[in-house]
Amino acid sequence: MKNIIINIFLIKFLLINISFAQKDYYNTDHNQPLLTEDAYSIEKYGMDFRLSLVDFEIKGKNYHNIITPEIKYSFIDNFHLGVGVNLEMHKESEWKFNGVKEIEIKTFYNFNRENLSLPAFAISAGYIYEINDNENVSYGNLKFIATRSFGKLRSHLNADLKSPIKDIKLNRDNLSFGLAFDYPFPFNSLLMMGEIYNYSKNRNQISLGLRKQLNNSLLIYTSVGTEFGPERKNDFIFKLGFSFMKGLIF
Amino acid sequence: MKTIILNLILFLISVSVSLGQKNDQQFYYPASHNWVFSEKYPDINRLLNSFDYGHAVLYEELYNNPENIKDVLETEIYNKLVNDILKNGPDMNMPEESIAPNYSKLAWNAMNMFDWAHKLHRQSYDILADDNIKDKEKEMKKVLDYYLSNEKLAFIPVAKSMDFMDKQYYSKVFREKFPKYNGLVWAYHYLQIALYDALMKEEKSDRENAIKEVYNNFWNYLKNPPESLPQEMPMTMEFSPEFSKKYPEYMIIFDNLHMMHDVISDILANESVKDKSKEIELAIQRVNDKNFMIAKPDEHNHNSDKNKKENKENNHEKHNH
Repeated sequence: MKNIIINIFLIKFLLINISFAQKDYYNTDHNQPLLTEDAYSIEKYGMDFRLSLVDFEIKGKNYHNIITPEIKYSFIDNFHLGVGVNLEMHKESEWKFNGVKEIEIKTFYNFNRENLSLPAFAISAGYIYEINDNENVSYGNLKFIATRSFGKLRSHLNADLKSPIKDIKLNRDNLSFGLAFDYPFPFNSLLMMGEIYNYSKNRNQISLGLRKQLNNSLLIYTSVGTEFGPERKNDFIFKLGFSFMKGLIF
Repeated sequence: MKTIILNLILFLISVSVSLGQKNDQQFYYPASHNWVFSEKYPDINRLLNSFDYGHAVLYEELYNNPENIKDVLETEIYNKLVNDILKNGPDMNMPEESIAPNYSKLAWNAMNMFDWAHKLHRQSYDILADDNIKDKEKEMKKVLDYYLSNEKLAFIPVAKSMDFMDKQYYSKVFREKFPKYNGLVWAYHYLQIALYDALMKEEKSDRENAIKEVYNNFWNYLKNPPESLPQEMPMTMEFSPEFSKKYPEYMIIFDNLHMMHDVISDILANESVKDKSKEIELAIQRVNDKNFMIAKPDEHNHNSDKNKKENKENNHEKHNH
């Protein structure tokens, strides 16, 4: 719990005096709030602070929550770099704070803007350090992303490969796929979205989400979802988080 | 599997190399004055956000439905804009690609250039509206340098001749086909440029009165369309002479931007332009071509239209400028 307070304090400290706007309620990043993301990076010289307070999962009587502070920054056209930490809480009989569960470093590059004939394409490559009770594991992560719009409706397709670096295997168990749709309400700075995410042959997730720009400084997002398939791990999933944007030029 | 991944990466790299349209969005200049104008003048801020919508919806409709759009644009959309959207504009600016998804696929580079220049508009309003900035010229220079540093998106500060807007093979079709909507766009541009001299007034009460006058003038333009609407494209030197003398590069960029809005409208509205995307890309190249249709030294404050003098008198009469 102490670590959470320190982290929240640090984020709060970083955000002091930020009065800058963002208009990227329209730019859906991974887990904000859906797993599937669009093919566009944040703006060059934009710094995005994210605080996901709730990533809540219920399986029977087990409750699980992840808090994720994350910073992304872009200093090259169509590219950004992100660093995030997952802090885990778990409840069986009572809530227990398990500390840092994952550290993730991610790069993202958008290749092109969608045009009349081709979708927008992007690639994301990351390193994930997973902290476990027994052995810590390093993962490599590679994701291919495409975004195509049909009028105002946008679709996003993700193919995600995550494999232990020590034993890289390219098989179906390491691959997951996401398909999401979103629809904007620009006068309300609101984006509605839904996705179906396939973790493996027998484990899938379906979610509905919202992103809403509250004012020039603050964006809020939320989603609800459930898993289905014989190997499902969660009955219910709920996410809630905030995102702030600041410009930064060195 | 390794082959598939390798092929995918190679495919994406080839897409990246072969396609002209990159996303290339850039954050506005971060500073203490960001959004000061919108906080001080929320009504005008909402109008400016509505103008962005008005531009985007125009291009989307012209592109989607060029054959049958006349009545829709001149009546339905015009009335919706004037009676609803301009009066109840959004507090925050909107990503125009969410309003014009098909046009953004056709001409992303043009849309992105407009967006970048609109940010310059907003940031220069912020500086001039911020009483805490002591050396405004220095801050205006910083923001201008930041704007120009993005060579892919910036309009260069070399004034284009009015021929660029009026004497190309596709020119003037939009204003002839859609006089009301065209006048509305020119009224937007009037407010955008007339604000500068108003914001530069030394005394606070003079400044507030001048801003109010500009705001009222804008609404007066819409009272009896199309007669009451501007009959020529407002030029920065004409409606903000002090600003134009002090910040000539800003003046040129905004005049070029506003001309380019008309150029895109003409390309989309003119049926003789078959390849819209190609013609828009050519216009982008030409607007930043230092040798193509460059203005003569005395051409900054007027229109090349033959009816210029008469129109100018009309405009001045309406606005007491």
